[in-house]
Amino acid sequence: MRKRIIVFVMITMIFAVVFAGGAREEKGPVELNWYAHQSTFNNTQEQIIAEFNKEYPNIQVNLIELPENTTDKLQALLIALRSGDNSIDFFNADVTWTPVFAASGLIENLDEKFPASEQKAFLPSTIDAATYDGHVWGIPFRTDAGVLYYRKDLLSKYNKPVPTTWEELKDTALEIVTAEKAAGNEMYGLAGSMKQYEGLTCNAVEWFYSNGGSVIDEKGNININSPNNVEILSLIREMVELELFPSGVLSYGSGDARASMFQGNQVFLRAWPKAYALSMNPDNSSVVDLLGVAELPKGPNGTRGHSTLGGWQLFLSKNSTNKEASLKFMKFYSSEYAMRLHAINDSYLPARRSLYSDSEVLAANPFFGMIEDVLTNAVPRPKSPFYAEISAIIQVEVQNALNGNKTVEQALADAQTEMEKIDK
Amino acid sequence: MIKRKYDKAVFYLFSLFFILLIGFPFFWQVSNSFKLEREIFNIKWLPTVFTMDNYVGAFSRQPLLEFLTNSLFIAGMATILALTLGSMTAYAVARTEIRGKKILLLVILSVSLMPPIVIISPIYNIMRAGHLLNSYWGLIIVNTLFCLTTAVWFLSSYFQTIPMELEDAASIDGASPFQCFALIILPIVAPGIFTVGILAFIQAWNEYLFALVMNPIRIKTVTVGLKMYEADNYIPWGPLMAASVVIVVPLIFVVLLLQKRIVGGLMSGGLKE
Amino acid sequence: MTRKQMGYLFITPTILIFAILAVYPVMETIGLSFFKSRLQYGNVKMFVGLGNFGRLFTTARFYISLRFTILFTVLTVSIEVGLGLLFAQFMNMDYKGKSFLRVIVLIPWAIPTIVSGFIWRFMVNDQYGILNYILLSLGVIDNFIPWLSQPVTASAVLLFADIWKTTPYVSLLVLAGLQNIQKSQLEAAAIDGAGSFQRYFHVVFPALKPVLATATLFRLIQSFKVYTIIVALTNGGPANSTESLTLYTLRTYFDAGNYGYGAALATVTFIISILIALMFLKVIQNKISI
Repeated sequence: MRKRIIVFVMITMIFAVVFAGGAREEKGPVELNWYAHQSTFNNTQEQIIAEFNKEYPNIQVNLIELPENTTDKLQALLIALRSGDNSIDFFNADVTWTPVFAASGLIENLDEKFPASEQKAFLPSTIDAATYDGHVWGIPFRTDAGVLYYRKDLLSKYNKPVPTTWEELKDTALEIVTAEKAAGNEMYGLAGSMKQYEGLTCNAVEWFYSNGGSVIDEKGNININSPNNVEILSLIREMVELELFPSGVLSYGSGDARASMFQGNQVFLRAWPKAYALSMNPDNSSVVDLLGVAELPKGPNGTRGHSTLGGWQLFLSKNSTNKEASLKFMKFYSSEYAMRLHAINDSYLPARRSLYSDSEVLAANPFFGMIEDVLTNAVPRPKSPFYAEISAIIQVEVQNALNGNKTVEQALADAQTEMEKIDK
Repeated sequence: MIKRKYDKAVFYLFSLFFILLIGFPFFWQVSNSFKLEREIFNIKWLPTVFTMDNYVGAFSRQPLLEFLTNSLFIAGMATILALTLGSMTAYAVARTEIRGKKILLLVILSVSLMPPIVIISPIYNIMRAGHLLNSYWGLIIVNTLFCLTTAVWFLSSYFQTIPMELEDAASIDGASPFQCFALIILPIVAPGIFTVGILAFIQAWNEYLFALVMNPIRIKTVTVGLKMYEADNYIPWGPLMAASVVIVVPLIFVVLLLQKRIVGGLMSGGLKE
Repeated sequence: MTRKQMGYLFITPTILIFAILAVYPVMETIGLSFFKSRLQYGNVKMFVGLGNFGRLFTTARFYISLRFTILFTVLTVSIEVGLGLLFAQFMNMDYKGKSFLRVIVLIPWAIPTIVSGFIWRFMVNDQYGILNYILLSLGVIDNFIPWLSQPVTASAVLLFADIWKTTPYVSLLVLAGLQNIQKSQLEAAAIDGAGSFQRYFHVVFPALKPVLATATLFRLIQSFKVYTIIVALTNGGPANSTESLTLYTLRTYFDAGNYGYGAALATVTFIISILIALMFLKVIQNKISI
């Protein structure tokens, strides 16, 4: 009798262990590796993870910071993803990377997991940027569009309206700069992030499109060398020669461009919307409450100004072993809650339509009201698996044109030739 | 008499100029590491308000301590490996009758002269296949390759200068070849090995190209890590200068401590082929 | 085990490392240069013979990069060796503190290039750089110069940063050579009535030739692969005017994902590097035997 009881107990124990062990395997804590942006001073990313954990305490999200510079991010991600291991589950991706990653086979296509019914809630341009080759590859969480900042006080002092054309901007800037310099004040007309990096491509695309030009046409042919592009780039170069830009502008990142505006020495600034929140911080800015936001101007031959569409989305790595859990977080990070938090804390433009009429968001960023129009008319940068090379060519040749190394005509002609050589 | 005075003045003038030229960037680096941001932007020689903020920032903005320990481990292991294999190779080349010495030395010399860019992509692929990217050992192995060239280069001449009679005497007494190597020769060359070790360590510590390509996400070395402070927005010069002081001071300390050996090593190695 | 057997055993690990990590990669790079291979094509490779090289030799960017790299190499090496020679004279003078000089000299050599690069970048900044400040105070310039925004000044800064870092090391090498010159040779020449200039040219300089030759050769090869200092200071800008061959190749590999073309670039870089070495050796009439 005792023997049977012992056997029975042992069998029960074995069953219990097996069951419990198996159960533990299913519901155990999952660790996800999220390759994300560097933390801001608001630690918004971390806050969102904490909130996510309230609903999913068993999913641990490790935030791994990518390098700050977008090109360095791409380099690091390609190196990590191509190593084939599963150390990346999902990552932040720039809008221009969709063709690159899609063509390389490194990410998971999300047609099923992120269906059209869900896509409807997002701004169409963000979904467009996440789409390539008929499939959707990413879930957008942030969008962006370059805007024109202006000094409200300076414009009213000189009785000038907000310029709607580049010519007008040049004339206004020239007048104000000349007058201020005569009065002994340091003053510049305009700055943008024009060093040799992606920021310059964003500026250049805005110039081209604002004058009816482009880089690649709908059929995929290169048309960067067009009379419209020559015209507008010559206008910008003229502004460089008139010293309306600070002398070091061709080595300015977005921070440097903001700096001269924030020090109070500049009339106009082309920057992303997040500069607004930064301008309201008295520690770094002497122009608190003095900045107005407007749409970018148009060129002589353009119909309207166009902003470059920026923004970020989440891609899911093909080699991730935690795809279900990853998608849960990806959806959470692109939910209204997360986007609202980023909008209020960091002036990030949400990718969801509803938030543009959200009272909290608008209270923190009053100019978001006019942003929707800008976003609808924003233009994406050239969509191509070879985007990195195309952008690099634009950067070099535009710099060559602006610093006088080549004539504008020569620079654009060379850009055309070089781009046509890619993939030949 | 006059000529002598003239010479002396020239020497000291030169020394002053030399010290200023070399020392000024370091002075500037240290001075700015203690400044508040507004004083960095307003260009003052010395901070009027001393602050440790930048040093706090150096460690908090980026895992500087992690970078330092990564570099220490990687450079350290690479040095140990390079010295071990290097002594063995140098001994074999300088003191045994193996064939193919010339080819081996030629290959080693070519590697030290070759632009690393030539092999970076295949090495990346090899490391990728071996799952050694973003790891310690991947970089250790690569650094061993380069440090090995330095080690063999310098050690060959050291090994050559020891007279064969010592080993002959030992083997007559019954010592095996390995015992000759380990117990007779090595102790004699030990100072040289130590010196070469310092050179190799500094070489591995300062390596940037492979560290960037192979470990861009995890296990970053100090050289790659320093670049992480750079943001698209702006470069936080205060914390960056503080971080670079933290990186440089131990190096300078070590160099000063071991300067006799380093100077001796560099000066003798530079002449020999 | 005989000595010879032990010898073979000893060199085996080294041979393995060099075979796998050096010889094989070189062959693979050269081999890949004949193919079209890109990230965007997945794992597909197409044989194109000399196609990549054809493209290379008709691309302006290659020539800009080559020109910059060669100019940089020639200028840095000639200035460094020249200054090194000059400095070594002073360092050889027998006064108190000369060993202190020798130590100071080590410091630029010992620190990572990326660190010194950042310090220089800070010092030449166009808004708060100390260099501009000093020049303005001395009245040499009227306005702060945006050093890194213009091709010529950016190149100058790169040159200077490299010279600052490496000249001390070169002086040390030359100093070693100087010290090896037998005192007796100098004294003999003096007794023969040679003035100091003659002594210099007929005794010192010829004796220094091997050292100078070695130093120059090594510096030539090292300068040619310049990369790190550029990343720290200009990142190839403005407008690719300071993009060295190594930087160009690296971008081609890892930014554009163009592996085949990158391999061709690497191969050409390698060949030019070898040519430079050979050319130099010929000029120096073979004082070094390998």
